[in-house]
Amino acid sequence: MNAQPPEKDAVATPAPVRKLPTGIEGFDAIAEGGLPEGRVTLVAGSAGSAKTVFACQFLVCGIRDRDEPGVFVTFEDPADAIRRNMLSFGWDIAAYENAQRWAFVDASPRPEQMSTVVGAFDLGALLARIEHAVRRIDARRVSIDSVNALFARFREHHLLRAELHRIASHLRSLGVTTLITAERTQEYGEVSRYGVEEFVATTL
Amino acid sequence: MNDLHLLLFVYGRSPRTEATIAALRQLTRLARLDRRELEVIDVQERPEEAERWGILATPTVVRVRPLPQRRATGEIDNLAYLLDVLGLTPRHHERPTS
Repeated sequence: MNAQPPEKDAVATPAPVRKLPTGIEGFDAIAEGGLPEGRVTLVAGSAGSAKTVFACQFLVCGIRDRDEPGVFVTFEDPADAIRRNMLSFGWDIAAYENAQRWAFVDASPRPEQMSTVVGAFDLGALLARIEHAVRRIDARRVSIDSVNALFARFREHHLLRAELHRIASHLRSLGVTTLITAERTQEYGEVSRYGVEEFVATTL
Repeated sequence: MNDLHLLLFVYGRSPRTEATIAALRQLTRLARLDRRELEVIDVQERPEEAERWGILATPTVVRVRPLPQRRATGEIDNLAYLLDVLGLTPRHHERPTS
């Protein structure tokens, strides 16, 4: 008996990836419409390239233009500083928070919360906090700023990369569109400082 | 005050977390304090507690009392080291072992 050759027309054409606008015209033009919907995208920029502003604008655009609530995960600036700094762009984040359109997961470093690593760990608590925030306001967008600040906190980078994979796949299963910012050391060098974490994301 | 209050943040319950809990119970006995309390918080069930305490990694132990707070993160392989990190070795408490 001969095996039947697979029929070519049995393979379904995948639906094209839909894009969500970030609200930054230049970026959306380059990225052919914005970030891929329902995916995780790592956006790398050099120091001082306003990555935090970009991460905020992605959420503000969702709230203002499409009524899509957003979760902001910060590993660097405290939520208070972000609320204050973004006022100069006319973005009243506190008002969005009160309207249940914006939620912070404030994972900025605080001296009194410093912990000594005594063994293998995971980022289960971070995952639970993000998921809780997403469900609480029914978020459609998530910004994570920045991955470098997270890597600066722990020496166990191999472990962090595995955990970022886990968080990324969890976010995909929640159906939210995620932006992760990273700093790159050279304008046209390695994509980000830690070399590997760009694989966390399904890319542009 | 010779009392001890520990919080243990875990992600779900597994044989591994049960081992961590057992190790901490042993630790609280070793600490030789009058009042001892160990509260286990599963971050999947109580994520708002992880938010409130600023916990990223699991497992994490927080020594709430005595002050100052101390924290240790990771699976416990070496109980003596954990005692030291949490400041629970007798010399930290000026309570010499008999």
